[in-house]
Amino acid sequence: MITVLNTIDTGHEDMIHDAELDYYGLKLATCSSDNSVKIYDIKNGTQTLAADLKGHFGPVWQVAWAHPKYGNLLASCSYDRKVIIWKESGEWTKLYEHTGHESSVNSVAWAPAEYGLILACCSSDGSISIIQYSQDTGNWDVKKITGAHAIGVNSISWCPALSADLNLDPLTNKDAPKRLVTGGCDNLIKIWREQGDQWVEENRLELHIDWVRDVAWAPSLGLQRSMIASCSQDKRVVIWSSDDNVSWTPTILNTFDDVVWSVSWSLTGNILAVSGGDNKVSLWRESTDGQWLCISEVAKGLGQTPNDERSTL
Amino acid sequence: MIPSNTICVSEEGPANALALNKDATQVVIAGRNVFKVFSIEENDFTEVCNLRVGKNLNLNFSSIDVAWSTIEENTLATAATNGAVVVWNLGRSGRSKQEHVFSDHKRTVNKVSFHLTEPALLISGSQDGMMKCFDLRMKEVARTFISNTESIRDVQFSPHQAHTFAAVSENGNVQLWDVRRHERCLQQFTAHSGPVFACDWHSEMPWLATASRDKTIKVWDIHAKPNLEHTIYTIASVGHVKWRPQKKYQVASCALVLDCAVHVWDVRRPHVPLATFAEHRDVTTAIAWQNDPNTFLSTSRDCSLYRHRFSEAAHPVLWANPHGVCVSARGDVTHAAPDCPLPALHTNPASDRYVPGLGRKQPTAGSLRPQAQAALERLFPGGAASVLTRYSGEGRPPCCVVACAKEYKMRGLPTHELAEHNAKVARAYNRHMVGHVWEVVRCVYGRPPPREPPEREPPPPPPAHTNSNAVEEEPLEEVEQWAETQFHNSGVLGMPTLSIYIPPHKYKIRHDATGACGPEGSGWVSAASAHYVDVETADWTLPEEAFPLRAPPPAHQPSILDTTHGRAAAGGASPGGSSSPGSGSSGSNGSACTAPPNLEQTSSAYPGAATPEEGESGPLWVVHEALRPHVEPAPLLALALRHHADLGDVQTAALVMIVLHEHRSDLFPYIDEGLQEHWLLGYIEFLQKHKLWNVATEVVRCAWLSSVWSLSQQSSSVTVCCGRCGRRARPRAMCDRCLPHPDLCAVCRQVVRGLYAWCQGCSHGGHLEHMRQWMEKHQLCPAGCGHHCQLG
Repeated sequence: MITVLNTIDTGHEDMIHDAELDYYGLKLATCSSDNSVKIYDIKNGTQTLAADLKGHFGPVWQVAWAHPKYGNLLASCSYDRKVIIWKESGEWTKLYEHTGHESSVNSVAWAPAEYGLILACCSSDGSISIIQYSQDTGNWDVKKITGAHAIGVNSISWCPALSADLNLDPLTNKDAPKRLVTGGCDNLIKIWREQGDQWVEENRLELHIDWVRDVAWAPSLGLQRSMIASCSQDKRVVIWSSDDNVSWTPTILNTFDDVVWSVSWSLTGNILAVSGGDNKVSLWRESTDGQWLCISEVAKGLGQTPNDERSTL
Repeated sequence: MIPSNTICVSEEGPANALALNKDATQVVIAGRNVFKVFSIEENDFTEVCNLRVGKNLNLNFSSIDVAWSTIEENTLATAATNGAVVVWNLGRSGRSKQEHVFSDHKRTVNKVSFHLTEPALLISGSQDGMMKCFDLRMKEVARTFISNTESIRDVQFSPHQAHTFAAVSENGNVQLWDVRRHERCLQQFTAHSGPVFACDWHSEMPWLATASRDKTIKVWDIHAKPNLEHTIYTIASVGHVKWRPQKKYQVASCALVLDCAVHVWDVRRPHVPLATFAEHRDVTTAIAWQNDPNTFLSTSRDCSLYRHRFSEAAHPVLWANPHGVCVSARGDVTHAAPDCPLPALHTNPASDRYVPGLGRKQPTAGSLRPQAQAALERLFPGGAASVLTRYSGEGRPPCCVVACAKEYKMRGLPTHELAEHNAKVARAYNRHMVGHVWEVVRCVYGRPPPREPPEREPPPPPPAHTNSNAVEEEPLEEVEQWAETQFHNSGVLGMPTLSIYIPPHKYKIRHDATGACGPEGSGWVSAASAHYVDVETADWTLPEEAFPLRAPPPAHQPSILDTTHGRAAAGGASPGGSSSPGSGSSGSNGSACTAPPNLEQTSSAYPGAATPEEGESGPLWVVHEALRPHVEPAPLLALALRHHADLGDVQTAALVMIVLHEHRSDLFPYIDEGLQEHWLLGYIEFLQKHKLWNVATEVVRCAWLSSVWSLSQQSSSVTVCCGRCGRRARPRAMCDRCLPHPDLCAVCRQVVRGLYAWCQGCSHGGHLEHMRQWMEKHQLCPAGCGHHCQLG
């Protein structure tokens, strides 16, 4: 059961596309079609506007917080084909601007902090960029995967540094391959693995029959297997699970009434929040027998428990 | 595959401009190397006339702009790079259609425009900052308008006032002129912060749209005083702008650089295009509506001419993700959703909208049916706004996990005392299931180290403080017996259980209590049942009874616990006894949901109520395993920990492992090192997310895995400051500023050679011996800084 804490008047002039809480859950970043990114400090259930970042010339689709060990860093990606990395040092300023894409940049995600300061972003031009900060030179090095998804890549997410396959061989932990998952307009989900200095397509997961809108690799605090949640315009949410990050088994979480736009895992990776076109957010949890149960569902602004039929799905 | 109703033709060179004739049946395109007229058929373009003919193809043929008279069927005008304005007559016989050349401008002419009602009036705007009105009948310049700006990029006659025209210039200004008065303009205002490249009059409203390098399109109401009505934000310099016929709020634009697509915007939704046409591979150079809101033509630097149908449009507003959801480390959910949801707009299957050869770079969500398109357009008046809502966390607020993290103890006491403490903490926060795991740990390991041979290591010594009741003095020989332990696979989980030797006098106690025979003859019993059951020590419960991972209902919790403990120890002190069907079935699903059982019913077994907080029957399966006769705690505990970790409670898993101390190795066969590390790092991450640095450091310190333990070596840094000036100094180097002055002893004022002792608080110090002597007598710093120094 979840209850509404409060509704935030963001002052955004247009639609909000993403809202992200930072590592500690104490800062909230929102981004909107009105080209701006806003940052709020959350204290005791209230929030105050801390910054209004203007630098994009198009709708800002997504924001992502870096691990705090690198400072207060926020990445934002926009329809204007740019990715901006913002840094707070007293004030929020532009730290770096990545302009390597030929079309709208749809999603950004920071790599697990263990790998260093690495940002992945993906674009409607079908390519993925991996931008790595080099401590020695102070430069940002860009690697690109072109033609990752025909027509465009909608969403990107990193495999946690501690992941299922490590259990197989704990001694090789430090050389564990980096992995990425992307969802695209070709209805596919692809898993990419770093091999040497190349990124190779390791797996493609086919099940969705329309654009994949969001993918999210579950954080793995204590989980013994990897899970990826994907949601699509085909109104379905699918949980892909794997014991070795190589073979993946899909479970359809639910088929919703409308397009599902966004999914987000809880810190412990056992609760999934799903946001769909019917303007509802619902929380799902896997029971011990592998069934996914809706534990809570709210329509916009209203707290409400799931009805019986839903919960027995 | 190009959709049939978008048609295209390739040219010899890129066209800079295009113009449609009065009834939009023919199109003329003009560029540096191309000047042609096509007739627009249903499915293709047919070349009607190539105007770039003749022997002398001079710069007059190199066109920047072209205009087609709105009245005269055959009259065309072009603006040339050399400053010429050329009038063409398609009705002329012969190959050359050139009618007249006006060479009045000194520099490139950027724009030519016919008067909307006077067929003989043509106006031009040039790079030299002047506009000239030509009288085609007199073949002379009627008037020259001097803008006093650097250059004029666009001139357009107003459809509302026959003699008014607008001119936009590179300094960001818009001027309104009366074509009959050349002395000065009617109005002038600064519209943009950068060059204005184009303007377009709205056909019904007194609106002028201007397009600029500042990446915006602005809509001005110039009914009276110019008033900014709308601003559209695009991603690149806007080169051209054209209102969509019959649609009050829609305007098409194309960019000068970067963006090859043509966008149609709704001025009320100024950030996301309503429709996008991305067929061009290079930037679009000109657009013209075909007198109809549903078709328009465009030329591009990629040398193609396209006719687009609106039904083929892609709709970026539909690609935009209207929802954002995020679950925070604290379990809060943040959800952004639109004020009014988009209606279900069913797209046509987006199958073959990708045209690889033509480099369609924008995704197209599949075109919409006309009704859907109309529905989409109706959405715009309200604009778009989102509601951002925060929800408090899921079922179990993580605050109690955090509170537990703060209060749990993980070292300094023997395992069972730590477990007891932690159990109390867990129960205090209504985490009965977790509390129960701790109870189990307390019970199982509440004794001195079990006499089980560790798998890899020599037996750990018994902890220093153990319950004196529980201490069993073991003869040394027994330790040696461990080498002879026998492994055999029992039914319990298929795991090897051990049999160990128990001296007969001790075994007797068990034997008497249970009435059951030991499995292997007098001295050998299964390790699981050999937990030295002392009837006297009534304060500890049998492992198997503690195993059901269930908690009593909160209300009855303390009394049940006490009673059960007492009775269990007294009456049911045997594994055999508690494996009876009665007690086993009390852990079934059915009773899990019933009201708390009363004490009489559950006197011989642990109360069988499932934890309400978990609301799952999951944990109960452990019960059945636990109640088998030959029970070994390690695999079961390992299972329980795995289960908790799977439920997302890595705290319990990690902390139980920590608290087990020397018993930890028991679990190693069942939980591999990778998973142990995973749990520890997971828990550390959790603690860090809640800013519990001290607890996290404690966990690192208690860690037994080198990979985790070594975390304390990372990201700790020591900085050295100069004791004199306080500036940060380079390691192993003297302060740059105070370089000539060596460190003096604060007591004797002599240079210190050898050991230098200093207070870390104020960084003053000196000879170790001097400092020591000083500190024996004084509390304040010898240097007189007033600091209460502490020396090592």
